[in-house]
Amino acid sequence: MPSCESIQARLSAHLDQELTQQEHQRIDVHLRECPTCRALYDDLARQRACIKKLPFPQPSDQEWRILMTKMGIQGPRALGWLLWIGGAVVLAGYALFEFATDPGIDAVQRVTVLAVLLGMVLVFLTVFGERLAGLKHDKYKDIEK
Amino acid sequence: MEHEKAEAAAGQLLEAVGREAFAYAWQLLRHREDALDAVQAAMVATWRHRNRLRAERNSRGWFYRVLRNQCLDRLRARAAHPAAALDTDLADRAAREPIDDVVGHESIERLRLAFETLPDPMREILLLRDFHDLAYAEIAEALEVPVGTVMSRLHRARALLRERLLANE
Repeated sequence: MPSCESIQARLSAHLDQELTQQEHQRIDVHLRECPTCRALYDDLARQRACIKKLPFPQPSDQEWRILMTKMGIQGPRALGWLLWIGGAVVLAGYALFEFATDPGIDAVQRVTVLAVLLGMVLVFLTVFGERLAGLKHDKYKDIEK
Repeated sequence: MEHEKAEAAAGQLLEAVGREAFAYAWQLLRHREDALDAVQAAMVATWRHRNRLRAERNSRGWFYRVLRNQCLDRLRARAAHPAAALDTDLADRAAREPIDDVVGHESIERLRLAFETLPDPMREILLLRDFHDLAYAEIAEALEVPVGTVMSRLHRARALLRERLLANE
């Protein structure tokens, strides 16, 4: 006969029907013969049934309706962002090209404006690089969003 | 055809677990708005990855893993910028929604008090198993641990909960 200690270590999994058929049978036999383990098993079963009744909060109907509405607009919003950013990039590129090649603009003005733009790009790239480096050392970096 | 099947599977999953998963998010975050936000983000992520979801054996476990990661993100942000007042425990809701059966209420109240004293990982695993009815393989997927760890952690959690209940008698 298996020891009570070895049976008690498996009672939780037995309760959850997570053992092999052979193990379940072995524990069932022991429970029929051992009042101590039987009492422990019954306690665990009662405990599990009560956890199901614990008053964990649930979202109200209104909260859930709002959440589902927000879910529904996610697709159109993503498309909106894509169109907005894509359009802005194309437009900015076209404007920059026109500005850089327009013979009517003074060379000093052209260099000054391009320098400002170049500066902005450099700042953006360095901040972006810094964020990337930070991510490499982030212990949650593998977390799937 | 495949796309439609994936949409149907993801829709069924979200309908089945979405709303009740709030309890799990709340348990981790202890903040109603944050929990709703995390559930929404997990549902959006699940919908976005619906094609991949079909290949997952434990789609419920996968959903809870995504939700858990969303919650961990929020906990991390909160650690960086602590501001929001947290819900203390289940007592507020218990007070709002009295249980009809007085005897049942007393034993559930005792259980609630004991449950609140458990360490976070134990509360979490008990919630996934006993409240959300996840199988061990699904819990393993959600927590990203082996099934054997789920088994032993649940055993320890139940034993400790029983010990605390007996101590409060």
